[in-house]
Amino acid sequence: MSKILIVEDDPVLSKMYAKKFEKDGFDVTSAYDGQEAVDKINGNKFDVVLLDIMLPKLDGFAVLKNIKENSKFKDLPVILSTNLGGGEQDKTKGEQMGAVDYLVKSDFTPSEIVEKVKAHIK
Amino acid sequence: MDQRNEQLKELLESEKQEFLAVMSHELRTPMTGVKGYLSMVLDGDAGPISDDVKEYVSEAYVANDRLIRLVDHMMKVVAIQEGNLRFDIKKVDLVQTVEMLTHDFAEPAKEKNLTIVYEKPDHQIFVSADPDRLRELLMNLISNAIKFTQEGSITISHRNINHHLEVVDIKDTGIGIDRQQQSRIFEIFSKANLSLSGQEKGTGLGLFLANKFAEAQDGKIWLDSSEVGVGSTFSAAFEKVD
Repeated sequence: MSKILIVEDDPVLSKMYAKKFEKDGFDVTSAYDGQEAVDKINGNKFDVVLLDIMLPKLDGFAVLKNIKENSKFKDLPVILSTNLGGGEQDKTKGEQMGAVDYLVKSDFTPSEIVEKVKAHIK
Repeated sequence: MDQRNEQLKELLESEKQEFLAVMSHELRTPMTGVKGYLSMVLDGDAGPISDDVKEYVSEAYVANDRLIRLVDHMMKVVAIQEGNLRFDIKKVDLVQTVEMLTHDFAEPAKEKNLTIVYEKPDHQIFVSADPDRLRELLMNLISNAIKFTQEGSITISHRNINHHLEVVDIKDTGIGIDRQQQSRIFEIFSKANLSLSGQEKGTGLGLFLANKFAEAQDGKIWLDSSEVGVGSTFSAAFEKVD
């Protein structure tokens, strides 16, 4: 069973993605802000992280930086998700920082997101 | 006084842009929730559903997707007006781009019993453009052609002007555009678009954006010809590169 950390501050979306991933057989852990995400990554072993960019406390880029700077987690696949506009700069920035994918949430259904995430799990 | 008015105008303009940017983001999140949950109902995640429920939920899904598209267009308009949309101009294989789009639109056209004919040239054509924006621009013109055509076909062809401009013509057999409205179709929230009814109504921003995209890539789009009840031909031209 693959373990996913879903980092999403919107409770409706967080619950929605959790339900879909659980339905697909994932073991789901949720974090609602950037600091909680960092704490949970440090205390667990995840196969993949779905990471929102705009988050309270620490934003998604700060969380990503934290993950990639730790040699223990440098191979952990991180998929950035956002609903912000003007995404190209963010996309490039995310890729340069080591994210494996970048997606605009409103472009995809939860089942499409599950498929995208699965493609990045080794 | 004039200077103060000018400053006030600038302030209002930047407040407006900021407001639109924040609103766009705030609107997208709940719409993503609506899209997601509706799709999960359609996937059967909440249990089996009757054909009626499936039909109604599908209608709601489509309506919500239209809202998402509108917000998406609004965000791009804001980005363009603020000068925040970057264009990465390079050498693009035009024939390959059009061929892929023709392939992508085969299914939506088939659903309306329309045929897409691509008069593919027997040689390669390269133009100078941003590949993603070029694709988006052509996608917009082809999807409009499908949207505004009830029967017949969409024909896509190439021609060259003065050796240095490569033109893609998208010809439909659709409703056509009234002569009085023709000069206004590239304006923001153009009346020609908003006065349409029902299914055919667009966001009123698609052609405005396509035109801005073309200008930013030193290209050009125009309505080549249109007659009510007969159809329209839209053209997009980009600089040829060897």
